Amino acid sequence: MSDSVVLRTIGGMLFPYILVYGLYVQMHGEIGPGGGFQAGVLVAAAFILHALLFGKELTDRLLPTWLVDLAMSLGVLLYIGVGILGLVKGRYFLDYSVLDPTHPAHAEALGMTLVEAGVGLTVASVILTMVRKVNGESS
Amino acid sequence: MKPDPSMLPVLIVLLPLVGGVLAPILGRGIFGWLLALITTGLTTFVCASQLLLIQAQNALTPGFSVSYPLGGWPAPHGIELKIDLLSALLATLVSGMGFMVTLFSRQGVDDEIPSDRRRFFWSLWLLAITGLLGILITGDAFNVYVLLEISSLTIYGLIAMGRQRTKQALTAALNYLVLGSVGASFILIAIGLLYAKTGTLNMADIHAKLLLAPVDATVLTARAFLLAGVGLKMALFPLHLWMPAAYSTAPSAVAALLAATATKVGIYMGMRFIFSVFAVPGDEMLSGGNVLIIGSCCGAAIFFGSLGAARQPSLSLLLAYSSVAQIGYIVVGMTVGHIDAMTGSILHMVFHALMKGGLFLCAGILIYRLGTTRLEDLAGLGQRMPWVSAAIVVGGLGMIGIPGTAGFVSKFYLLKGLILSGHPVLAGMVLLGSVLAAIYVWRFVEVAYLRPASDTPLRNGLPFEKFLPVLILLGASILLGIQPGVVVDLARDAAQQLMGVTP
Amino acid sequence: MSLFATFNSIAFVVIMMIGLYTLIARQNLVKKTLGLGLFQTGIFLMYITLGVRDGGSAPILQEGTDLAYSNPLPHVLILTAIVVSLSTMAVALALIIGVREEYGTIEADEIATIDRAEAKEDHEA
Repeated sequence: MSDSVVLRTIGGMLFPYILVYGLYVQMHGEIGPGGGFQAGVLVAAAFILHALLFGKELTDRLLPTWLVDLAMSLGVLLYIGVGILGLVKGRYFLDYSVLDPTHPAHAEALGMTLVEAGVGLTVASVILTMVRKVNGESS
Repeated sequence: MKPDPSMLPVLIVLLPLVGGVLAPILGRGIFGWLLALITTGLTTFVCASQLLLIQAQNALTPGFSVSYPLGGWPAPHGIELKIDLLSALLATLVSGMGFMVTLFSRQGVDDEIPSDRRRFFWSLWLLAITGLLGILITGDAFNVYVLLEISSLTIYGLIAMGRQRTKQALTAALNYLVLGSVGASFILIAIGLLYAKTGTLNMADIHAKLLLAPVDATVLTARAFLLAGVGLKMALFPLHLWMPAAYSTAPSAVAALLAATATKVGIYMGMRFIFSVFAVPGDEMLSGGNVLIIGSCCGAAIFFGSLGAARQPSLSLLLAYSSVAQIGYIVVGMTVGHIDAMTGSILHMVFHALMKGGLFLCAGILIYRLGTTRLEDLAGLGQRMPWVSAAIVVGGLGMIGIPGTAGFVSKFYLLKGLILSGHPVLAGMVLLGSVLAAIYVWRFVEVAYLRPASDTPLRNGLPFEKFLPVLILLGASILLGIQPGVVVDLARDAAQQLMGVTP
Repeated sequence: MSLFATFNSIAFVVIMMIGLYTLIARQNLVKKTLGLGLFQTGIFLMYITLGVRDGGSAPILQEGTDLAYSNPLPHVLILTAIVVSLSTMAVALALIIGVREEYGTIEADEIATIDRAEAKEDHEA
């Protein structure tokens, strides 16, 4: 937790922008450079910055541990869910075309966006958990 | 809708994966165990049906294997799951052992893992099984690396959960992590070099391209890195140093799962890469110098592993060192490239998993009731816990390879193959190993039956659901020792398919 | 093969060896872990070098251009391998924290001494 007014003010101002940039990278991932991995790390970085500036307690209030734990599982479930949809419709696992049978390109874009969203969710929560664990919260 | 049989391959990894992801959310209290039990049970069912399907097909068209393109992208550009007899057999073994050990471990986990960690324990548990099964059924070389790391990372975590009982679990896990990561990195280098050489990651495609190109330094380097990496993963002497500590300090359920499955999957990787990727006619990987080197590693593993087992202070360590020796038997069979030796090797993988799994479960019961497996504290066990010590003796007889136990059948095929392929020295090592095994089994018998009972207090009764898996596993090993026909046929077919020999 | 590729080939071997040396020679567990990370980074560089193509640009398809671009597949593989390496590092650090809690040190030789002393005590008891 930092005592510097300059750091806290500037950091507080940056926090939402980092989140938005993370979301931009997330959304952009399906057609250009970007995607869930990078976006997840960016979003996690925003919260890590928050914890550094305002203390762990405040960040934990903003983003409770149970929510992070849940997001970790939900991200993977979202990914698997898209895959299972293909199975249910009698196609191969992770076959995107079932999402929009009339327009394969759209289906692919939608499938990738969903999968990347799952990846982003999981990566962000895993990185946050990792930092939390390494950062003194013993066993 | 009638379930499409072609859905089975992906279900093998999907079921435990979903279970593993759900466990942190739903796995509080007893539900974690129930979830794990149901998931592993279903997975076993799926694997067994897949095995039966492939076996039935194989009888019509030898060399049949199932291929499943993920996302509908056909191989070699997409990632495919590829299951042949060996994969299906080992997948059934791994998931079946996972089911048995899960059945065993409800109270054990309650006993050894703090309650707020249990749902993560079951999550790691299922993810480890996912990784192991994935390695068995994937047809993509890079997938092997990723799945290997999934199973390894979860296993490091599982071993470290033994810190409740002994803090050495942490150092054991860390040692395993360092060595295991180096091993996996070597495999990554090998895959990279293969990719540089062939421009593809599909294992069948790599093999096809290697057939066309002359063997050059890239391929040889890839092969060397691969053998070193796989050797670390399968704990082949002298790369076994991580294993005894990890097996003896891990929670008892984890030790049983590891001993029964993890090293087997390492050996499978070795077999898959040697016979399905690198095997190029005219340049036999397993010839001349290579057989000498790997063969002497196996010989040393059998000798020093068995000798080491005879000197250990606790039953867990004894069993772990005995595993070092048993890995030697399995690898020696695949080294000489003879169909009978290979059959013996595959049989020994299955039988050793049954027997060693059963033995580690017995060690788990000892930890549950005595809190220790130190041999001094086991004095007079024959009177104090007659059933468990009888089970340990039965498993031990299997380790020696007494006729009538499963260990005899696999060693018989190993010996036959080794002698027919002209390796009498290695055959001698296998026989010597049996004699040495008798020494370490006798140590237990002496402690348990010929010494006055120790006064270490007994806790808890013998829960039936803990003894049931032991009964099933060791019972199966005896039954298969007397009536080995079915499994021998399967193993022979799998060996023929793997080595590309038509019957 | 371009100069870039040759230079990289030497560089990744050097990086890998520095990492492996650190892994083996240092007693401090954190330094060992860093060595492991460096070793894996060397391998990543090897993969990236495999994908290099003379005069190739970044592999992003744009309409109207038909440039040579480097092979994207190794990049994808390495993205995965980086995540794996990161997870390995996280697990290792978590284990080291546990070791520090239980043993009070993170020097491998001191831990071995403690373990040996305890085993001896155990034996005498």
